[in-house]
Amino acid sequence: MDKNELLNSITPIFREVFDEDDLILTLEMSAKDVDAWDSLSHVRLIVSHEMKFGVKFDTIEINELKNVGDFVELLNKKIA
Amino acid sequence: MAIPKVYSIESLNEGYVEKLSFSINQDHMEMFAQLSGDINPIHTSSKFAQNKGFQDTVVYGALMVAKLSQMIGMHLPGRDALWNGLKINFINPLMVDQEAELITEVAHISVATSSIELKFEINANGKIIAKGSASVMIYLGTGNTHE
Repeated sequence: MDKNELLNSITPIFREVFDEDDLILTLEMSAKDVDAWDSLSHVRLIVSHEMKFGVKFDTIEINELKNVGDFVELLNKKIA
Repeated sequence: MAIPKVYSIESLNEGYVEKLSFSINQDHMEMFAQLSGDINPIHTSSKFAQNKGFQDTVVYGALMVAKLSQMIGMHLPGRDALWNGLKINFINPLMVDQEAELITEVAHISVATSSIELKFEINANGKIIAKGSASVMIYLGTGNTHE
């Protein structure tokens, strides 16, 4: 799937987890850009994506992520 | 005193089920009314509840959530649980002293976040009383005792 297409399809999950209806998700965005992005919301974010896309991440993969773009790339590989 | 079970993320499987039978009695209702300050007559007055079409006073939904707390904190996953999310729908009323069963299933295991998603249902007399889901982390702290 195209990166931007995937970005659009995961935006509703980020909006729900962070409770921000008007959140504009970008590939460059990271935890420092969103006030509500703390350790617990990070867990909800990962679990929500695992459940929506029927995939599983491992700890190393998650720890290596630097921004939303990295996450989109990882998710894209998982669902390919 | 009951000792909580200890499930690690590795020891659980998706589809694993735990069940808990319970009933809520009048003492529980009165204690919760005092604790919460919720003395709505649907929970405290038989006459009022019956006028609203119920058999009798209706059990507080939060007392069913209390039994879910027992399930999570004592049984699944038990001691190392850190409960961080809940979705619940109350579908049918539960009556005081009515026998009920809480059925909880591991719906998803996320090893990366050391957390699980539980699906649960509360049934009584063949009817679904409540259903929902709970998110629980299995806390990887250093404490290994019950102190």
